[in-house]
Amino acid sequence: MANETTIAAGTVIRGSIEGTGNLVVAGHVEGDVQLSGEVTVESGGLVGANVRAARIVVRGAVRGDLVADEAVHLEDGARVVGDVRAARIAIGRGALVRGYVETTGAEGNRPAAARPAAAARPAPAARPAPAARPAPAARPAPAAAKLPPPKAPPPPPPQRKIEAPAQAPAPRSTGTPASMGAKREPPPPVVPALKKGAKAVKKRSY
Amino acid sequence: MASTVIGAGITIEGEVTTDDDVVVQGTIRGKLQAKEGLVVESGAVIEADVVAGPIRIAGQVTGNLTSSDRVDLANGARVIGNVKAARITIADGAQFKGNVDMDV
Repeated sequence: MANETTIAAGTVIRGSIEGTGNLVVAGHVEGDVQLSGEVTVESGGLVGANVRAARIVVRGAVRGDLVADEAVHLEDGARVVGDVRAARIAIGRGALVRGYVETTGAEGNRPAAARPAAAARPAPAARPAPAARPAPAARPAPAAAKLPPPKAPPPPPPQRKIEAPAQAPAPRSTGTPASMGAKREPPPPVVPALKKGAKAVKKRSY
Repeated sequence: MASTVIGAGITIEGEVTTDDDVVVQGTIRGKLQAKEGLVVESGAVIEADVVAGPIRIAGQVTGNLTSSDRVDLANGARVIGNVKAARITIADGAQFKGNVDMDV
């Protein structure tokens, strides 16, 4: 237990920490941390750099990459901005992470074991999905009630179309004299011009 | 247990600033500033300028020591650097090389 290092709240370290033993950070560390033991960032603790250790437990804030040979545990209150790499990674309820997270096997067999675990996760994920489907099924009923109103709005577009043709003649009058040689080709642009004209109606509505 | 402990086997390169007590068993290179007491235990190595409250040294220090209170060099201490404090004691068996500045 002699190799226990504690950075208490109110302590600020600007620089690197490395060596053997365990480290508990309740204060601020702005510099790389590299240990052979366990690093614990307590609630209220802040590490603003990369951390490399055998095990990393975070209940505070880390702005940097976490690399552990064995495991990374992000517990309630943890806020991590950075990549997380370890053989085993646990992100508990209440932990916030932004970054790339990768479980890496220290041994050749471990990644294979990790993949089935990952493959097993999608399966349970698929089971909840059907459970979720009944819920959407329940939603259609209210949605059906809501459907009539959406059907009501469609009528307005026709009205806009009616207004659009009124605008259409104007573009034709301007467009035809300019492009007399290609009378056949102009028509297709005229159609989009109608749609654009509908937008123009909104402008006129101002 | 609110104090900061730099355990044996730990090396800090950089600046350490704290409002609490500091106990050093490992190695610090750079700068050390503590508002409260500093204890440098036997086996510890400090290569830094130190500013703190009461300072007690049983390990090895290379750098200037400045204390707002007192500096005690215990048996086994090895200090190279200037010491400035209101009160200074050097125990028999402590090695010391440097200037001493006390409020005379």
